[in-house]
Amino acid sequence: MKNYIFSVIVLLSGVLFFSSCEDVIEVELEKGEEALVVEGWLTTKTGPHYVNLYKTAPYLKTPEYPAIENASVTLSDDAGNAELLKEVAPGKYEVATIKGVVGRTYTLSINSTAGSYEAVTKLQRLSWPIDSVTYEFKEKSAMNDDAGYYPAVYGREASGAGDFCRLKIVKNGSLLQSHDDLNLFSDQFVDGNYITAAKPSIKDPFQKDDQITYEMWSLTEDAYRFWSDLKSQLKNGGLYAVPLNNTRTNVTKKSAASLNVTGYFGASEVVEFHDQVK
Amino acid sequence: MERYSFLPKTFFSRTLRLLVLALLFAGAAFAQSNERTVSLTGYVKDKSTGETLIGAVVSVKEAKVNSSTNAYGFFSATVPQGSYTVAVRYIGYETIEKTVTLNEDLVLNLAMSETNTQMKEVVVTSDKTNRSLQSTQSGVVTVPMKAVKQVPALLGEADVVRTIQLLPGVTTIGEGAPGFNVRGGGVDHNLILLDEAPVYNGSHLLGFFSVFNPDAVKDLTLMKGGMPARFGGRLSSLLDVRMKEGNDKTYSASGGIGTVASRLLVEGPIKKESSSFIVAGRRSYADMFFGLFNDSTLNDTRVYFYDLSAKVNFKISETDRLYVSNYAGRDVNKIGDDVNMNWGNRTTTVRWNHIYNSRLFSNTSAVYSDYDYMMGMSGEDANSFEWKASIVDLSLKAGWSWYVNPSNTIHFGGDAIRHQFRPGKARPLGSTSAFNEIYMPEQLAYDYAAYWDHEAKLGKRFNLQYGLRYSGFQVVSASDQTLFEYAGDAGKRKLPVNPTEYGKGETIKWYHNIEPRLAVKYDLTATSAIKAGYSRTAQNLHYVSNTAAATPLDIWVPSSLNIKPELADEISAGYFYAQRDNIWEASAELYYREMKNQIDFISGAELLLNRNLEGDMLFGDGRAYGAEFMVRKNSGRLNGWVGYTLSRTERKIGGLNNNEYFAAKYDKTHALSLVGMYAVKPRTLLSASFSLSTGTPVTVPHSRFDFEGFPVQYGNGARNNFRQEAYHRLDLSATFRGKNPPGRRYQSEFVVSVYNALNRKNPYTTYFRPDEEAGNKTEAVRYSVIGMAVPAVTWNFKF
Repeated sequence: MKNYIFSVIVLLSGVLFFSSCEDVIEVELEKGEEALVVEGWLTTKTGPHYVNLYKTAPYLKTPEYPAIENASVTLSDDAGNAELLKEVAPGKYEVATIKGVVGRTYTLSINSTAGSYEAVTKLQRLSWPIDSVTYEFKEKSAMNDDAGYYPAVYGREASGAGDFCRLKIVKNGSLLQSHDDLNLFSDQFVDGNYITAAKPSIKDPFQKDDQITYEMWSLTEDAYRFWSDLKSQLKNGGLYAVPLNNTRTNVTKKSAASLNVTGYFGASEVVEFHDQVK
Repeated sequence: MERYSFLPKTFFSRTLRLLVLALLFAGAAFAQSNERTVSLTGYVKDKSTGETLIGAVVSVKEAKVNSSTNAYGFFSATVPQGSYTVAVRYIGYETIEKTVTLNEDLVLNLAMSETNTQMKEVVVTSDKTNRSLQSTQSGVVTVPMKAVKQVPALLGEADVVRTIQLLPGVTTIGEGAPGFNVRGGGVDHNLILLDEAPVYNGSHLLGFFSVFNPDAVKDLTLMKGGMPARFGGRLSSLLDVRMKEGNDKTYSASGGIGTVASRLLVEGPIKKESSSFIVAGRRSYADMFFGLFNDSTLNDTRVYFYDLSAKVNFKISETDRLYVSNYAGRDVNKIGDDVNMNWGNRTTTVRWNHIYNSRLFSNTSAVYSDYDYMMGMSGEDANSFEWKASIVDLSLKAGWSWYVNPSNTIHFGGDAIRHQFRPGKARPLGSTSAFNEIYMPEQLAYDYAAYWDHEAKLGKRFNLQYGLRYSGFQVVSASDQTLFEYAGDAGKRKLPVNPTEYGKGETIKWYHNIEPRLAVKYDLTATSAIKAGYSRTAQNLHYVSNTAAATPLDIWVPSSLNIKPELADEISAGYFYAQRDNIWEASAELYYREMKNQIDFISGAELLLNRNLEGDMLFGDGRAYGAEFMVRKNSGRLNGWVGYTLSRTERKIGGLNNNEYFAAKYDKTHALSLVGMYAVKPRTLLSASFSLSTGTPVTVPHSRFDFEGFPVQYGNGARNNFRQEAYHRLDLSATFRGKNPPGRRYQSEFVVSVYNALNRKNPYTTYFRPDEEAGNKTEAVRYSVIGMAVPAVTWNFKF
C-alpha cells in the first residue's frame, strides 16, 4: 500500500509540473573505496546455483568488475550438509550438491584475498502462489505508455504475518529485466486474505498469444528490504527524491581488516504459473 | 544530564542577572513617572475603508513619545498633562497632525488617507519613521503587500511565501518545495499564523503556491529570530499574516483573472462604521485544459485548489470589539477514474478585544484549526483503499498589553492548546480489495504556555525588551495502549523494547521548558542603531519527512516517550541604518544558532503507516551561523532591495556521517537576491527579481555493482556529500494600469510576467539511473522543477 501511496504522489507531481524537466549531466564523482560484492541465490529450482564474488567499480564508467579468484567458499545448512564450492569461472563459484529446502537455514562462508565473510539466510515458504491471471486490454493514454494487455494476478496469501515475495515474469522465454518489471510484495496489510486482481507493474504491456511464466519467489524480510532498497534506487528522482540508500546486505565481515562488503546471499522457494495471453 | 556546549555554563546565570537588573531599571522607570500623567489611546484606521492599520506610529511631538499600533490597530501613549501636536505616520499614507489638549485621558481614533494616486504607482512610499529602527528586535522584516503584488510571480500568482524567499536569511530548497527555511531552520520550524490560527500546510499544488490569498492579506511580518516571549511553539521564525477586516464604509469588490487561478473579494459594512464583513475566494483551473486532450485519463483528471476566507467584525461598545474569521482551503486531485487525493486547512478564530482602561488592552481568542488529508484508490482490484489522517487543534489564548508609561510596555498572558493527531486510518474499498483495515493509534497532547514580555526605554538611547516564556507539553494516551522504547545500533533500524502499558487518559510524559528572550537596542544617532539579542525556543510538534520536498502526506507527530522537544538557542547582533526621510535603509546582521534534538531518519526509513516509526528516527544537533546584509530603497520611481546572505547550516546526527557535522539539505553558502521595481510612466510599472545562490547538497554514490542484471549504486554512506551547481533565476513582470480619472471607482490592470526568463534548468535534485539507451551504462540526471521560461498574464480589477 505504501508503494501505491507514494507512486500516486509522484504521478500527481508529474501531472502538475508540466514544466519540469530531466536532463543528463556530466558530474565528477569522487573515487570511493572499493568493496567486495557477494551475489548469490539458492532456490528450490533445479540447479546449479552460483555465488559470484567481485569488487565494485566506479559508478559512471562502463563497469569492469575485478573477479575475486581462488577464494575458499563454503556453503552449509542446518541439516548437517556442507560443501566447498568449486570455482567454475573467474570469481564464479558453483553450488553442486546442496539443495534448497523450505525451512532450512544456510550459511555461506568466504575466505578470500579481500578478507573473510559470512552470510546467513533462511529459505522461507512461499506464502502467495498464483492460482489464476486475467488480462485487460488498455489503450494508450497518459497512464499507459502503450496499448496492450495488462495482467492481474489472483491467489490466496497464506495466513501468518511476515511473508514477502518477489514476482519475476518471463515473457516468451526471456526474463523481464527493466526496473519497471521489479515487483515486490509484503503481506503486511493483507495477511491471510484472498488477493483479487493485484496488478503487477510491467514496462511494456503483453500482446495476444504471448507465453508468460509468472515465477513467485519467497523472500525473508531482510531479502525483501534488499530488493526494495534496490527498487527505490532505480525509481528515485524528481521532487520527492530520497537520500541515496546503500542496499542492505546480509553479508558480514569476519575480520576487521577485510574490505567492506555489499550484495546479498539469499534463498527462495519458487512456484511457477504458466499462461498464455488470450 | 545532557551537556550543552556552545554557551558557557555561566551564560544562563548571567542572563538571569541581566533580567533582574532590567526589572530594577523598569522599577526605576515606574518610579520616575509620578508627575500627573494622562493617556492618549485609540485606533488608527484607513480613512476610505475603515481598515485598522498595524504598525502605524503615533508621536506626541512635544513629549517625544512614540507609540505604534498593535495587531488590532490600537495604540496607547502616556504623557504629562498639556497641549500637544500628535502626528501619525504609516507606510504609503499621508502623515496627519492634530493638536490636542490633554487634561485627562483621551480616546482619539485617527483616520489616514493613502498618498495620492500618482505616488501610489510607486511601490512603497515614505514612512518617515523606519520600523526596523523603531523596534528593539533584530531580524524583523515587514513586507508591504504592495511589494508582494509587484514582485514578478510564478504564473502571475502573487505569493507571500515566494516574496519572503527573496529576503536575506530566508532560503528554499527550490521551486515546488513547500515552505521556506529561515536561518538554518527546517520548513517545519516556522510558526505560520493566519489571524492567530496556526497553519500546518502552507501550500497549494504540492508547494507551488502559498495558501494566502494576497488580496485578502492586510499585513505581513516575518521575525527571522529572536521572537518576543509572547510567541512560541516553533524553533525558527514567525510569519504573522493578518487578513483584512473588511470595509466598514462602502461596499467594494476586487479580483483578478489569471493564467492558473481567479480571485474575488467582496467587502462592505454590516452596520456603517461599526461592523463589516469580507469574503475572499480563489480557485485554480489549470486542469480545465486537460479536457482539451483526447485522452480518457486526462479528461477525468481534476487538479485544483481553492481557498475561501470570510470575516466579520463588530464594535460592541467603545471598549469591546469582536472578530470572527473563518478560512478553508483545499487541494483536490483526481487522476483518471481511480485515484483521489485531497488535503486542506480549516481554521475558525473568534477574537475579543477589550480595553479595560487607557493603559490596559486585552485580546482573548479561541481558535479551531484542522488540517486533514485523504487519499483513495478505487477500482475493481486488490489495491483499492481509502486513507485519512488529520490534526485538530483547539486553542484558547489570552493576552494583555499594559502601557505602563511612555517608557514601559508589558505584555503578559497564556495559551492552552489541545492537539489531536490521527496519523492514519486506512480501510479497504470495494469487495475486491485485498487490504485489511489499518489504524494508526490516535495521539493526544496538551500544550500550555505563559509569558511575560517587557519593553522598556532606558534613557534616551537604550531600549530593552526581555521576556520569559514557559512552555509545558503533556503527552496523553488517547487509548489503552502499549508503548515501547527503541534500542539498537546507531544509524540502523531500532527495535521496540521495554513495553509499558498506558491506560486511556493517562499522562505518558511531561516536558517543561523555560525560554528566555532578550533584545537590546542602542541608538547611535537619529538614523542608526545597533541591536543584539538572545532567544531560546522549544518545539513540541515535529514534521516527519525524508524526501527532498515535503509531500502533503507527510505527518506531524508530537513530542512523545522517545521524541524530545526540539530546542534552539540563538544569538544575533546587527547594525541598522535608515536615512532621515527613510528613502534608503541598510542593515547588517549576524546570527549563531544551535539546535538540539533534531530529527533525521535512517536510510530506507518507512514513514507511512509505521507503528514503530520512532525506531527509524535518528536524533542529533544542528548549528547554523551567518551574516545577512540588506540595502533597501523604499520610495521613488525606482525602488527595491538587494539582499545577500553568507551562511552555513549543519547537522550532527548520531549514526550519520561518522557522527560529524554535515551540510543540511537546504544549506546554501551564498545567497544573493536583487529586487527592483521601476515606474516607467505613472501607469506602467516594470519589476524584476534575480536570485543567485550556491547549489544545495545531495547524496551521491561513488561505485556500482550489478545484481541479477540490475545496476546497484554504492556510496560511502555519507549524506549530502555532493554539491549541486549554483542556482540562478531572473523573473520579469510589467504592470499596465487602466486610466483612473478622479472620482471613478473602477480600476483595472494587466500584469504580464515571465518566470525564469533566462530559461535556465536549475538543479533541484541530482540522481543516477541506468542509461535506457546504452545497455549497461549509468548516467547522472539533473531534475529541474521549472526547466523553462514560464509566461503568464493576469488581469486585476477593483470597484
